[in-house]
Amino acid sequence: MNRLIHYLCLLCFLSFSQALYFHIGETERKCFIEEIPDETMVIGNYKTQLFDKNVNDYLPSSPGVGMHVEVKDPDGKLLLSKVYSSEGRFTFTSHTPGEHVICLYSNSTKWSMFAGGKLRVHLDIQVGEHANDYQTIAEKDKLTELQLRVRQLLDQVEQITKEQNYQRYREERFRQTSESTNQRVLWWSIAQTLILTLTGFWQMRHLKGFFEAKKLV
Amino acid sequence: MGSVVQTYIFLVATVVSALAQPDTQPAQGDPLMKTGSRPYVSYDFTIQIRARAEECFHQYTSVGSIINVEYEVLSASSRGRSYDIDFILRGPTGQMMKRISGEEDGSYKVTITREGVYTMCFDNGASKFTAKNVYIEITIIQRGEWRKYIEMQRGEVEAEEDAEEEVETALDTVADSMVDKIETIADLIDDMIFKQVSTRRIAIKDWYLVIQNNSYVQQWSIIQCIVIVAASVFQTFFVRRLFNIKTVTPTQKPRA
Repeated sequence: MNRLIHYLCLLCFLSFSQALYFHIGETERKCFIEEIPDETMVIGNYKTQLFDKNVNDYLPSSPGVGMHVEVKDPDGKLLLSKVYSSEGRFTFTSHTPGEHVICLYSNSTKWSMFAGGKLRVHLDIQVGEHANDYQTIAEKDKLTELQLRVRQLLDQVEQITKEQNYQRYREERFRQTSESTNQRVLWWSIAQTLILTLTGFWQMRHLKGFFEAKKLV
Repeated sequence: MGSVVQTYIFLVATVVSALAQPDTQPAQGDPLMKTGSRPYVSYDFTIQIRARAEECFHQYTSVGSIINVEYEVLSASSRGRSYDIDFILRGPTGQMMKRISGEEDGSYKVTITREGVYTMCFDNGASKFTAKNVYIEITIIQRGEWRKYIEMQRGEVEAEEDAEEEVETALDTVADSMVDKIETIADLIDDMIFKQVSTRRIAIKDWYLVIQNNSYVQQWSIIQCIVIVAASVFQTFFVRRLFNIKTVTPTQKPRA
């Protein structure tokens, strides 16, 4: 039990390595394009930090700054358009497979006055699976360290399997498009040859009629 | 007395320095903290980089982690332009660790020896007007803490053995080798993940190519058909015009 607590403490250190972050300007709009299969739930966690000129560093939290999250599906239809507080989580489920556009921009204009113009946004977008919080899992299921490690490995292998399934779906889509291109090349070549011959015939006939009318033939 | 004060000062200093760490660390219960407890984090997305602009992403990484970045340019706003982009990886102190210039796609894997915030930048400064869509995949395998735990556990087991001078029981041996085997499996799984990441990048690039081909073929075929018909119509009427004889001569007298 002692060891478990110790390991969880180590996990605490691990957890300080948090999500990817980037900076956006006041009116700047950052868009991420994600390729998502259909009927998949997507969870996005984000957190914003304001730059404080007095401390010359980023404040741990920035109340009052809202983030506008906009999600468009491959056909351009709006799936989600909501304003969230300075940190939070947004979820949406995709209904068509393809490229979804997730856009983030700040909705307030006041913070640039004292923020030096930059907002730090931490973002973590997960497609299709839940964020596994191993600390709570370990506490809930009362796992030993070894069991927790094995559980982590099992989850990773499950991820690999999901990725392989998605790869298979991608390959099928790829093959369909290739076959469609093949068909198109064939049929358009036939059509072009046909059009060429027909216009040739029409041309000859028209000119023959014309010359006969002109009494040249 | 002096040593007690020293120890006290040292403890206070440690606590203060821990608290004064850059506040990029989230508070307890923070949703983003959950990403830290996973043995690997992976982000993949496509982003549009405007002309002469640079997009940077930062990530806090611990020692012993492996950062793997794969990227490729999927499309440019104007056809026929070069698909090059620059990639720069900077370390915690801002020093440049790796720069890949002018490549259409690339990958870079590095094991981290210093913990801190690592910056990955994609620079489109070389093109003046072309915006580019870049597919980026960042995978970070973090097992540094687990490795420390293994060392600590092995140290504990050895200390126990030394202290008690007992013969290792069969169970201890099994537990020891289990940990080793788990680490071997974990390494192999990491390799699998990296290979999948590469495959995905190639698959997405091929997909874009195929889609472009498909629409390209259709568009050009339609245009060609129109050109054929237009050309033959133009030909016919031009030939007809050649035989157009005016029924009146230039001096307005009827011609035979």
